[in-house]
Amino acid sequence: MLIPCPHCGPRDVSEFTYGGDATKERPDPGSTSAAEWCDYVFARENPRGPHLEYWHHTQGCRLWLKVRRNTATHTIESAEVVGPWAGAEERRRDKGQDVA
Amino acid sequence: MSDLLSPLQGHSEPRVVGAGQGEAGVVLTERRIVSLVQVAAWPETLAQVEDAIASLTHCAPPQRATGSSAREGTVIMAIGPGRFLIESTDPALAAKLAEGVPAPLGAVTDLSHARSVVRIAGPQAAWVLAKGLAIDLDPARFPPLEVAQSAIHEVGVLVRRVSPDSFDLYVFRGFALSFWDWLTEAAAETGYRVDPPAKV
Amino acid sequence: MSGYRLASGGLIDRSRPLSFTFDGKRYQGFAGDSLASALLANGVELYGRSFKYHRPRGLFSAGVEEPNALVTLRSGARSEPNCKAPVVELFEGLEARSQNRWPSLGLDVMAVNGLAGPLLSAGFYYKTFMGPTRKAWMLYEHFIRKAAGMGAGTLLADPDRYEDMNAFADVLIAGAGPAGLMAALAAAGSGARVILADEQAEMGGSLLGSGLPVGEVGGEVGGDAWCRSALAVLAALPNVTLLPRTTVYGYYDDNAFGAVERVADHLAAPPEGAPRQRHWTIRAQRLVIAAGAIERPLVFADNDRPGVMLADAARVYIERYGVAPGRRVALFANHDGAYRTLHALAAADVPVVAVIDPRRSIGTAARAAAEAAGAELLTGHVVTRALGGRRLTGIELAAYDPDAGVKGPAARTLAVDCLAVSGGWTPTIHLASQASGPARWDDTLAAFLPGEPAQPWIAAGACNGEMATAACLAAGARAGAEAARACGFSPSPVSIPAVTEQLVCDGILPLWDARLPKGGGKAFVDLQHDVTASDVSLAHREGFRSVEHLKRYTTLGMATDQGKTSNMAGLALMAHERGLTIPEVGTTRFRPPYTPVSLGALAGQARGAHFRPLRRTPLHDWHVAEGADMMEVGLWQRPRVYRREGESVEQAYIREARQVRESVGIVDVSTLGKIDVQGPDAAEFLNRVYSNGFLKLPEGKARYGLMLREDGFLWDDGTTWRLGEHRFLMTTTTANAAPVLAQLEFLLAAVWPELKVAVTSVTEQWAAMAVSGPRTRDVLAAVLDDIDMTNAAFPFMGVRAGHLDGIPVIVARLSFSGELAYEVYCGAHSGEAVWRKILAAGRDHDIVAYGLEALGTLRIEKGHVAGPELDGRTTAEDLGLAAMTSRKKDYIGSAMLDREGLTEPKRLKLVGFVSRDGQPVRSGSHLVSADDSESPPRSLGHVTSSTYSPALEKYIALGLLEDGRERIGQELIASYPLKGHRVEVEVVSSHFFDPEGSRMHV
Repeated sequence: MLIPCPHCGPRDVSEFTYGGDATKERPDPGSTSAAEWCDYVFARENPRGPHLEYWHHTQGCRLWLKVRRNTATHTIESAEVVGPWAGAEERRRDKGQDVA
Repeated sequence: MSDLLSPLQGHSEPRVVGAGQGEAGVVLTERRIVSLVQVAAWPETLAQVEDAIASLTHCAPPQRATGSSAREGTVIMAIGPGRFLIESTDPALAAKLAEGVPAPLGAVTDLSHARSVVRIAGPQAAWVLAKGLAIDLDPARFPPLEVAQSAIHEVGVLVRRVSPDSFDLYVFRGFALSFWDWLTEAAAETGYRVDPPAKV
Repeated sequence: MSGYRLASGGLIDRSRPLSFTFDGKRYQGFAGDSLASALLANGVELYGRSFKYHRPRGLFSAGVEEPNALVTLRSGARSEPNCKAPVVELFEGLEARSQNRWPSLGLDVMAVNGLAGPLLSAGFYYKTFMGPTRKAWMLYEHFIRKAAGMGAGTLLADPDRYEDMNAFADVLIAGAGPAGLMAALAAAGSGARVILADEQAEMGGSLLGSGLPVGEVGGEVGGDAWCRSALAVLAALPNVTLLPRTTVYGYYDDNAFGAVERVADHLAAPPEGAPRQRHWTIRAQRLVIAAGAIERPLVFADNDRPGVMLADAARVYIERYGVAPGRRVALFANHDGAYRTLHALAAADVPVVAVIDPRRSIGTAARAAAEAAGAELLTGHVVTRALGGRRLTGIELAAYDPDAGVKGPAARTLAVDCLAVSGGWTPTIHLASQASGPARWDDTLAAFLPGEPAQPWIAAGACNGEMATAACLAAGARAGAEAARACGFSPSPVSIPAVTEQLVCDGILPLWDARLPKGGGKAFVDLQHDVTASDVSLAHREGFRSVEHLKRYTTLGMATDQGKTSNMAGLALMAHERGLTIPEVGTTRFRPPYTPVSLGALAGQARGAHFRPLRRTPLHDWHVAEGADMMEVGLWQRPRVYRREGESVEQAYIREARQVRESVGIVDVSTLGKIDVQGPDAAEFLNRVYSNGFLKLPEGKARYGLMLREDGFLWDDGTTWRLGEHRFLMTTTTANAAPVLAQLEFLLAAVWPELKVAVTSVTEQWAAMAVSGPRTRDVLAAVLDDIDMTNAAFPFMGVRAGHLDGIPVIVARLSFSGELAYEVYCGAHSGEAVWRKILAAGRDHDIVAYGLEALGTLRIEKGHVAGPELDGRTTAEDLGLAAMTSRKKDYIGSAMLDREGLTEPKRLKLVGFVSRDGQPVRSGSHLVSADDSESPPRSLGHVTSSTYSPALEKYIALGLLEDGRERIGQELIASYPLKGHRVEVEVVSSHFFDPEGSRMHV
């Protein structure tokens, strides 16, 4: 399986670490009930078909990605950088040629 | 400086192996680098950090997301959005960068001792590398100056193509000897020559 | 089958004789021979004994589908079983041995299994030996495996090397027959990067040795010559990689392919430096499958007699290898294509006795071929039985009616020594099947074709049902161009060579069973696994009717050939039993590998010293030179003890630990995870990550911190040093260095992207050593240039930067041992120099280097927790660290800290144990009541860490115990029933030594 890392390009899955369900948002600790916390920490769907997942490019650029992957076919629809640099690579790619 | 000990000391000494009467397919050289510093900018300070790097090193940072630039003793490699790895012959580079890039602009981390660098060169360099590196090394797709972070033999490696026939491999220091042993084994097929460790 | 070498013809080089041995007997062949063709040329008839019945078996095919002629190659450490003789290239000095015979191939005592025939039917072993208990099977299995089997592997280490290779291409073409070669020409001309792989040493597939005229009209050339010119064109193109002797065996996600190149299998031993085999991982945008087809046999009684051979194989032995397969040959076939073999036999002057064909009418060209060969043509007939024992002596025939079937009794007997059989062709859809929907049934071929692609591949040629060479060439050209276009290239048309009309597999009359009704004898479906037509019927009777059940119950198609010649007949017989059509019964999906792949090729370089990479600290060489016992901790190599001559491990660590408490010791702690945490929000970030407060940690100070998981359990601990306002150095346990960094990166990306913090692993940047013991200050003061070591200037938990004999260092006053102690960090390349300088300064203070064992002893004496206690099931409260879980802030784990299960008072709590009877306490022991009334006694907890304590002069341990703190003073048993080990222990506080901590604050 190839994951299209926005920074490094398509790389074999062996370079990545699975980070779990990316649809879960960490609740605010101050204003969240125990049940909501349990849902965030323990409850996971196991969908057959489209899924949104975190993947960490552990042996590459070390970016965390949100990957839209079909768990039945392994088809990957998209992979986006998570965090402050989201979208940065699209802006930067092919900005120019480097010279020595 | 005699107190510095390379993890490849005693292993990267000059020799020719398995080339028979012919030319060795690859030449391996340990590059004993002086400074290696990572600079990370914050998203809104990237341009300022690039300017700071350029003025301190006299080398413009690379423009391509996975590119590198080089000028007179300095090599700047793009390793992630807003992150650069800078190799230099200036022993004071980390200190200078720390001063030029204070916390409001970014973070400067000295990695001068954290990596070992091996250059692999020669007509069979790409062939030998491909035994462990799952990256398309076709010169049209991975041209000189291009940088890739990946793994060889489970060891994290940063590969920079120096020229069509030569690559610099930056590996974690603790894995350097294991990696070197793997690389020399992989190069046995084509035959290899080890040149004396280079100070740059 | 009494084969012999023809005076001329074939692609062998008669000027280069090669000698080899089979079962110790010396033979001669020629360069270009396969082992099978060379043995056939020498008149060898018997190649091996069958898997279950030990029946004599001969050569059956000329390719990877060979079910019978399996041999063990070479000897000693290079001995390799189950090699298919037809695909073994002959080399000078080759040694081959037959398999599954005892004491010899000619006299095999196990052949008695054949007499017990009906007993050994499908499921026999299980039914008989499973017995009332599992034990029965366990007892008999050993003997059964010995009696039924394949060749034996060697237990010696493989002396050869194997390698991996990664390759990238636009178009990968699997198979270099007419379709594959044309595809390569068509794709390569466009500039696309093409890899052409073929399992044989010579590319060309069915064209090899073929006299078939291929080429421009008027300037016709033979198939061979055309192949050579096509290959010369391809070899000259820089964008083409030719991989002969390479099998593309597996199709994986995103068009990744596994392939094995047999680099040196055709040599006695690999040349120096070269691998024996190379495993290729190929990524290609498009795959062109040009895998060809495999001929299938026919089912009749005793159809396994040596001398019965696939019809096209007989042709190949004549045309490619210049070997006649017999002296009196008959052909038994149900389609016109097989008649091509008659041309070859006639050209080689081999007498053809008869052609037996179940059809009433056959094609004109086929009839002409039979006439030209001088054979009696018996249409409307089948062969019902092969005669003979260790060699074929004749065949029995009966009339056949397409509607009524075989009409007994046997009408005639013919004396032959070779029977060429063909039941049609089975397209090689294996690769396609690995990446497609269900296979499609084709009535005209009576065969399955590739299903709908689930990944981007294109099938061309015989594997796609295009059987004629002309059709293969055209399909290849089309597929190659289409593949290149799909990759964004613009291929120009290539000229397709004309092929003179040929006999192809036309007009097939499906024939799946040619047995006489109640005829007796064994009619094999799967030769390699000895599965007969009766076994299929039996499976049906016993309810194993789906193809998946049929396969597993009878083991049909589960041998090393994976049913390449047998699957179709098996399916057809089951369909007949069930009254269904073959497509209604369906076929099983093929899985990788297409042909067996050696484990060596899969392991590549990752064996022996390279099984996994080793991680060495900057002080590694010193430890080794000092004779340390090194041990693996994850990938790290760490010194366990530095044994002196005559010392045991225990004596050594006791000496080392005692010396630390009495004078001073130094230990390598470079493996600790070290993470550089920087940025304007670094302190805030750490405050959210650790369970205790970090906001107010002053510069120049270190703090011990706890990290929890989101579920509230303890995860990791370590000290973090504030080096500047916005700069921290975090340390983690050795084991969690990588996961902690990944988690910090996750939190900064996904949870708190607003925080300006950068985290970077600096584990490899720093050499780290802990210097501990009452005389530590004197030692360090002597070598540090510019750090005031007085207690007032450098208090406990202080962090100072400075120089040690000119080398930049950071020193932190931390203590894991409970003694006055400092950790000294320096650049990794300076590590050994700093270590040596400290040792030199410590010489007068009786300094000792200590290893992991003594490190453990010292921390257990202090009751400090480590990996065995941080086992993912303990909370801060369990380990007596509740005071470090802040109630004033939110942090990772805080929200779930107070849930029911974690505050349950009965949870196991950390306590200490002292051995009462002078015996060591084994880690992992269960703690049980000293009162023996309960049997087995209930476990009250377990021992996590144990050691001999030189400070207490007792064996001590840490452990987790129910109501632990309330049990202090009680007596328990630490029980390790697996080793019959019971120790009386007293429950004590986990702070064994200097509980006030006075020693480290001096």
